[in-house]
Amino acid sequence: MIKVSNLYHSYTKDGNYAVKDVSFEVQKGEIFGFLGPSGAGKSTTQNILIGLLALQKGSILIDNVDIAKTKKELFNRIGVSFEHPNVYKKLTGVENLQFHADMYSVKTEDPMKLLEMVGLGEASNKRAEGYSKGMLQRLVFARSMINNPKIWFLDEPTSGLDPGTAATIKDIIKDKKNNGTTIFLTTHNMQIADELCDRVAFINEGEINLIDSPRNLKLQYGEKLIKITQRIDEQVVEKRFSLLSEEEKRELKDILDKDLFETMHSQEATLEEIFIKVTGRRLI
Amino acid sequence: MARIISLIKREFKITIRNYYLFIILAVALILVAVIRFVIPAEMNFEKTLFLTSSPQAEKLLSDTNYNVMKENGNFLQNREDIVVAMEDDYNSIGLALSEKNGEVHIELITQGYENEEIINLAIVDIQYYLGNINVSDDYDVNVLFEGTSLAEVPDNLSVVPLPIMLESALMGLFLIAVMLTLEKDHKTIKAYVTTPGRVHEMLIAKVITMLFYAFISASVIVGLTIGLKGNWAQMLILVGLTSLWSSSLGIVIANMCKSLTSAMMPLVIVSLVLAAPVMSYFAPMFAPNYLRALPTYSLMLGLREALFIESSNALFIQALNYSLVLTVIFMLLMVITSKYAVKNS
Repeated sequence: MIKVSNLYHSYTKDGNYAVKDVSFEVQKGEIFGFLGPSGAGKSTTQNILIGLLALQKGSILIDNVDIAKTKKELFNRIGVSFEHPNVYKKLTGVENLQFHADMYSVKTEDPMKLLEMVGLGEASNKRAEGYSKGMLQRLVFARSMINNPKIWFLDEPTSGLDPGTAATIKDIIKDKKNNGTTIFLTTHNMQIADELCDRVAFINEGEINLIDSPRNLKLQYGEKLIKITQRIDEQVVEKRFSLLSEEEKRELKDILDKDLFETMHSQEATLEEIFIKVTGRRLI
Repeated sequence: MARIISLIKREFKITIRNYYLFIILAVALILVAVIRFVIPAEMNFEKTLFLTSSPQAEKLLSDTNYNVMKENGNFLQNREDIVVAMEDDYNSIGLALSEKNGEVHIELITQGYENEEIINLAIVDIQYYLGNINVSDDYDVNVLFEGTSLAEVPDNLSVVPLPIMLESALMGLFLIAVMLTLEKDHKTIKAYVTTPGRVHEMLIAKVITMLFYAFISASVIVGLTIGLKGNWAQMLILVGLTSLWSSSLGIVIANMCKSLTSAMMPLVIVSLVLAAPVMSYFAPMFAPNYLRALPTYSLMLGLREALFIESSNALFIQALNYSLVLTVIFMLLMVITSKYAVKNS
């Protein structure tokens, strides 16, 4: 559905690349997470994919269409949800969606249906300037579904949302995936990526370090840990023991035998920890 | 086409909700009030007199106050010197006296913008100095610059082209640049370009919206001051073309700037330059070539001719040609620079 080969991009056009030799493929109906810290090259790659930046070097096929020769009609099949709440503040929620719907030459969704899906039904006739940050985020998200896209680009779709609303948004994303939508998810939120993505790519300093499923990454890079809490001299102390270390396993057994703990949890490595291990950078 | 109609509908909703239409109408009504109630119907200007006389005429004038006139005025050797001097000093009038059939023949040389009252006043003044000598009845009034006459136009109504120019050219230029830079600041332009909608369609919708507002404001101003007199078709053609080139220019400026803040300085400079010919329009004595070369000067003269002077259309044609050329140039520049609209967002 999306095929990117040897993509390079330089803002200064002097060989100083923001994106270097990036290649990946996204299959139909897959949620592909593009993960990395700020400045890693996530936005540059996504902006080239959605036509906001010119393709300088490399090739990109979207739905078998070469974007270097693309016609604007390709955008009938694409939806983009931005992190920035870039809506017309003087228009109401429903007017924003209706205006966007008018831009497409394919059958579009009912704006009210989409607004109700994201919990903005009651605010549909209120001007966007009166919306909270979370409401604006949901409006942008709803707008990206207006043309029922086959390929959906999501940039931090749950950013700024309360847990309940974030859960609704995640359910919608899963639902779309189940209906065959291909989803390109850009985020630095590893929990969301872990929960939603079939595969993730780690991008750092413009280069992709690895691509795999979250499960495979955890198996490959994770370390099985047991976390216990003890009360020592009225202080709660937390300790972690790796099950790969014989010495730590013996120490843990001793604590368990003597019942010297208050709580005990098994723990696997998070995607964030794996990212740090692979790239040497934190996801800031 | 459906997309452009939808874009225009959006522009109207946004501009009305941003009170742009009300601002345009309020400014138009304030300017109407100023024209009707503040600016006096008559204004006077002190002028420089250049004069010359043939030796034969001077003989006939020996018993008159002509010598006083000669001392007070700027006496030059011949008529050609007067024309040269008047071309340099737009606030001047020329007088050439010669002998014709034993009588003094008067030739009054005017700049072209003087109204009949100023000309009559000058003749009365001349006759006072010349006293009771025989003066030929068929005195000539020759115009130096044809087509700038204010004849028959009351001073307050002669102001009308100014607010039309201000609203169709300057306000359109400013508003459209603000609209576009706000789209960049709010990043709504990014959302738009990820749809099948083209950037040039969005820009055309903005230009059409400004065109509509220009027609509305010009109609209010002319309707409430002059009424249905004058050539409305010519007036609307000039207003329409001016709105087209000025809003295209506004878009070119906005395209080249990253934000509203960075667009402000070039907008203010361009607006000041375009407004500068107002001085020459109201004080024709100060009309250097660099001000007369600006399109807004030509526009105001063209509008004045369209609204007040039925007998001629030379200035209208001049303004029309100028506006057409500018419309083509700025619309092309608008299309060429439109890719920067996205890049700079």
